[in-house]
Amino acid sequence: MDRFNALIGVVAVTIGLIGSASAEPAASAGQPKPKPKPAKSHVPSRLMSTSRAELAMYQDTDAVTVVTPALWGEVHDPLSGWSASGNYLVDIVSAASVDIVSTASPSWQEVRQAAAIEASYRPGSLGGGFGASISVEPDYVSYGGALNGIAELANKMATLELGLSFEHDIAGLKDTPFSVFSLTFNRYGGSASVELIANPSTTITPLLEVFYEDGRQEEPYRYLPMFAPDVAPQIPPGASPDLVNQLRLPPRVAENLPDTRMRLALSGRLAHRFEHSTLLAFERLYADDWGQFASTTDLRYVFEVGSRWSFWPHARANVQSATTFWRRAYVGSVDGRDVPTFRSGDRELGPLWSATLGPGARWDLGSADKGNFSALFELEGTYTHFSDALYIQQRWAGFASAQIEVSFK
Amino acid sequence: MHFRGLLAACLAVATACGGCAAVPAYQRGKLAHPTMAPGDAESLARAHVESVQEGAIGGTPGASSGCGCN
Repeated sequence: MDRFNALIGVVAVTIGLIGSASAEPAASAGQPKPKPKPAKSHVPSRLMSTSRAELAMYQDTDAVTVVTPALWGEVHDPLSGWSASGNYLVDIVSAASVDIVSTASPSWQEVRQAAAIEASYRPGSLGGGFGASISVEPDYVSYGGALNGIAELANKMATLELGLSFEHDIAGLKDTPFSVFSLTFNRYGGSASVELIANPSTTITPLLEVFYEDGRQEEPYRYLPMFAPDVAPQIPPGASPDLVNQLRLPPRVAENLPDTRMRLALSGRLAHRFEHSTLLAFERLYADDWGQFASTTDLRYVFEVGSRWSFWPHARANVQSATTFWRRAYVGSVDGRDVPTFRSGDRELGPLWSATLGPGARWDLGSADKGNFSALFELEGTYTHFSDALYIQQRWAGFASAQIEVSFK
Repeated sequence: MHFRGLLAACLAVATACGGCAAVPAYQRGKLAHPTMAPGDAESLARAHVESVQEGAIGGTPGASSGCGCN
């Protein structure tokens, strides 16, 4: 927690820096003009800063509600090439999902805090940066760090970015010290992307990501029902908790996942600027050695109405296959000993597809030259279909976000 | 096999993009528009929702936590 508090302090300093950067001295009337200083040889500086506050809410038909206030800030100097940013958010989670109810556990509330900082320096065609992040809740802590390098190539027609990341996660039990019980895992990541200028209005960015995960990824609270061999095939998708409890064998068995996982993803981002609108398209293909494959498509079309308003529809589709060890109904034995080695109740490891659609709007106020004040609103609905899971087959979710953004030059 | 397929697709994209014609600096005004930038006005909260609900996202710090699941 000390480290977390220290990181929160760094984020606060970063956001404070943004505030001070935005308070560039203005010549006050009546004060004598300072003597002009001799020109310096170093690169001139012109700070630009952006701060953003967000309040978001998520709610779904599985009785999960998340309220998220968040702060984000960035300060950068486009002439000398450095930038720094930080963010901090709080997730206030309230859950009485079917997974919880089906195990006769009471609904619960908890708070997750997350913070991240990033800094980069690119004085010329070469540059680099680093980042750090932390996420803390009563029974889960995640630390992360990242390094990246950037190179502009081919007369700035291509921008190559290489990145390395590391994450260390600790899962525990509420009100139990990590020294008594904890599951840990590490994630090592590498990425390579190239932003290519296809024409005066279009950029294309292929991105390759590789992650290797090592450690325990089971949820400590997750216990699975087991079924007799002749009963398991009869359990229908979306079987109710009552039916599951009626047909399952007496013991519940803890989730168990492979200790390593290799993930690979290839993405492509296309951004095209029309006269008064922008099309953003993103596609991500994913595979891992747990046998899961996925495709994620994200589209946004931002169009401007007048000089102060812009609107967009946002659509997102995700489809994924199951991991090789995924079963809707696992076969076990009465004594709980003869069970599959790998087993999970995490629906996100099973087959699913989801579709998201919603509008967004941005209202810009202020002068584009001196600074700007903007308000952003987003409202989205997501439908998720679980084709091979217990308890639920579909989930509707709503997401709403309001942001206020202030930027200064 | 699927990893090889993805790598092959990556190479194909890189090759296809290699044919882009040069764009001089003075013609890049549209590319500098704020909406063209990755992460422009991105919601921090939505990024976490997506990382929790899409099993394939991965690699996002904290993605495994705060899901409201059990």
